Amino acid sequence: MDPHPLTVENGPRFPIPPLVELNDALTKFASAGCISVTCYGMPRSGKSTALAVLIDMLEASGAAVVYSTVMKSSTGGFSTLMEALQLSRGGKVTFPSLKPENAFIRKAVADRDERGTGRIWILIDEAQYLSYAQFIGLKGTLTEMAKLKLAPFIVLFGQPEILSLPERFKAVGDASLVHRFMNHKYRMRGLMRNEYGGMLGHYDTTRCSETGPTYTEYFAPNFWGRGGRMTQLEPHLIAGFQGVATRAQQNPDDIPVAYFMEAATSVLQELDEADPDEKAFTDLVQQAVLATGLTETYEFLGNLEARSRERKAPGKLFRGYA
Amino acid sequence: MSDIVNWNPRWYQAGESLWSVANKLAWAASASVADVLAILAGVVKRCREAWLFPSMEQARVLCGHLGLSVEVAKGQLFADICGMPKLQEREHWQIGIRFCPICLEGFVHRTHFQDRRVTHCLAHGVPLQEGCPACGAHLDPMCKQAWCCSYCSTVLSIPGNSWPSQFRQGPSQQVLQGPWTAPDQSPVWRCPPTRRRLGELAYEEHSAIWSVYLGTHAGCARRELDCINAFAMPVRFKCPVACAAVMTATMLGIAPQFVSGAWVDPRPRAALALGILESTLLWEVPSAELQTRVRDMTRLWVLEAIEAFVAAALLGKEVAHWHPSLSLAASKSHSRIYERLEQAATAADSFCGFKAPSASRNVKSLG
Repeated sequence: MDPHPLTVENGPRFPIPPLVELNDALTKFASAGCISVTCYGMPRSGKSTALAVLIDMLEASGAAVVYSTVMKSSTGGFSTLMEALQLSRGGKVTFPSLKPENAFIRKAVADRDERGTGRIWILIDEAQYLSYAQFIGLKGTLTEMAKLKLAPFIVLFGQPEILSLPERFKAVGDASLVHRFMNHKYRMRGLMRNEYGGMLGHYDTTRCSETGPTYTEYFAPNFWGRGGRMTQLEPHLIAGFQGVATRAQQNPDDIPVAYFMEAATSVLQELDEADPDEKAFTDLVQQAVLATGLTETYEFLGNLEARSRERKAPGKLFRGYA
Repeated sequence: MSDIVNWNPRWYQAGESLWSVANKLAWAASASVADVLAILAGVVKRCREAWLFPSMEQARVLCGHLGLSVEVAKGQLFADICGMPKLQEREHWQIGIRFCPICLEGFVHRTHFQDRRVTHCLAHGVPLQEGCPACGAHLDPMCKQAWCCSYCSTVLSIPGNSWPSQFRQGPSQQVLQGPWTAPDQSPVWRCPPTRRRLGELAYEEHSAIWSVYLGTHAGCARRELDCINAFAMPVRFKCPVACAAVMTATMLGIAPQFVSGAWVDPRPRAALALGILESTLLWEVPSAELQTRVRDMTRLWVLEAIEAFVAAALLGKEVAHWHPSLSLAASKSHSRIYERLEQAATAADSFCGFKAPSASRNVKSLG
């Protein structure tokens, strides 16, 4: 089933401030001639959504040829990575003798000819699972692409433990290899309290066509019919998330986007079915905030970023909460 | 977008053959041409000329993968023949690659180049070439690298950095200045044949007979390889067709693996090149007639072998003796050889001990 035009990756398709900032930052990095940027952030801070939006946007604008993949485990070799990137632009019939390393570069050359741009964006999600061999292979691929007058730009999306990769590869004796890819780092921030109002406003104003229903109207017609608006949730959501963050000694102005969206969307569904009074309304929002699991996530992960920086080279890459 | 990794339908040029497409694909995907042809056209699994005469089902699947319509591909991507051709037609089509050097510079090989009645490139007017320019070997379509001789690995055409646009633009069409005059009065195919060329000719003729009359017994041939060493001796057989094919191939100096479709080594075997046929022909036949005579003798040998094995099978025997006729007059006396070949092959079908023959031998109908 095709997704609703107002949704992306099962969430509302709104201009989310951290995603907009990420987009601007990446554009600046790319136009400044950077080869690689590492983008890290808390789990569910919207990295994968940002990646999906980036692919859509770049494909639509034709500004660059995009190859993307999600690293599913740390066991694959360089060929696996190249094959996944190659297949991300279509095709299902492959040949046993195909050499993915060469084939990927040739595909990039062919795509440059077809799309009329030499800008090649390689987006890798869950990049904390990249292995040493894959980094070496990527380095060689970049060199070869540069020789062919292509302008590659790699964005590594990953959890904060990606910051521990240089430490990890020091043990192998070549941390500089990873530094090559991690010289430019971008931290994907969460939502700030003063952005809640704007975000909730998008629910009430965004339409998939000029005369079509708004997101709130489409997904909660009863609530919309009663004159309800999502902006009414702002103080309750601020209170809810601030409480959770403060109790976990975390920054209340850095709430991962997915938690906020999940809470707002879940309240919207509840409000469509019931018409609560003021107190019940507050309780409903509080329950929705708690149900997102942000409290458990904070307890589980702690300050992942700080821990990743402090951590000495671990024997095996892990998520930091082991 | 095409289903095939690294293929762009805009690279297809009018009249381009599947071998040419396979080379472009192999280059773009950094794979071997043999691999591409095997997967797209099932060349190894069936027979080697499947890239010229695919089955209708294969043609549909292939065109779907390549993003081309079957109507466009028919007569361009594949040979322009409706249904399985008769031997009289099939034997004009060559499996070994023939090419126009100018077209090849533009990375194009056209299907009609494989028709031996075509001696010059229709676009550029230059004579078609056969064989590797470096070693002279027959150019095997199942080469490892793109545009490469599978024997000496000489690369016939090397794509530059702007290969995608070269693929898209195709070869130059403005090379011919005025009417072309042949530098050599004799057409390519009538050049004084070398020993190797005669071997290749015998292979082509044997392949044509094999694909038209004997194709359904490819599986049997793999099980009748014991008769390879039975020179001038009675042999035990289960499938008269396969046994005849393998024995005639051996007598012609064709490596037995050729019979089942695998062209492992394109060289005629040094010790058995053309076998006894060569020694007879080279001494007694004028060079102008050699090529015709090789084909006549090949047909005759296949016919005689099938008839010998069928005669034995009719008597309920599983052992038969066949020795090739060395009389040159005999090859001329068979004016109805095509009809007799078909009759013999049809009769032999019913004696196959390995499998029930299919209803029709024309399994590769192109519609």
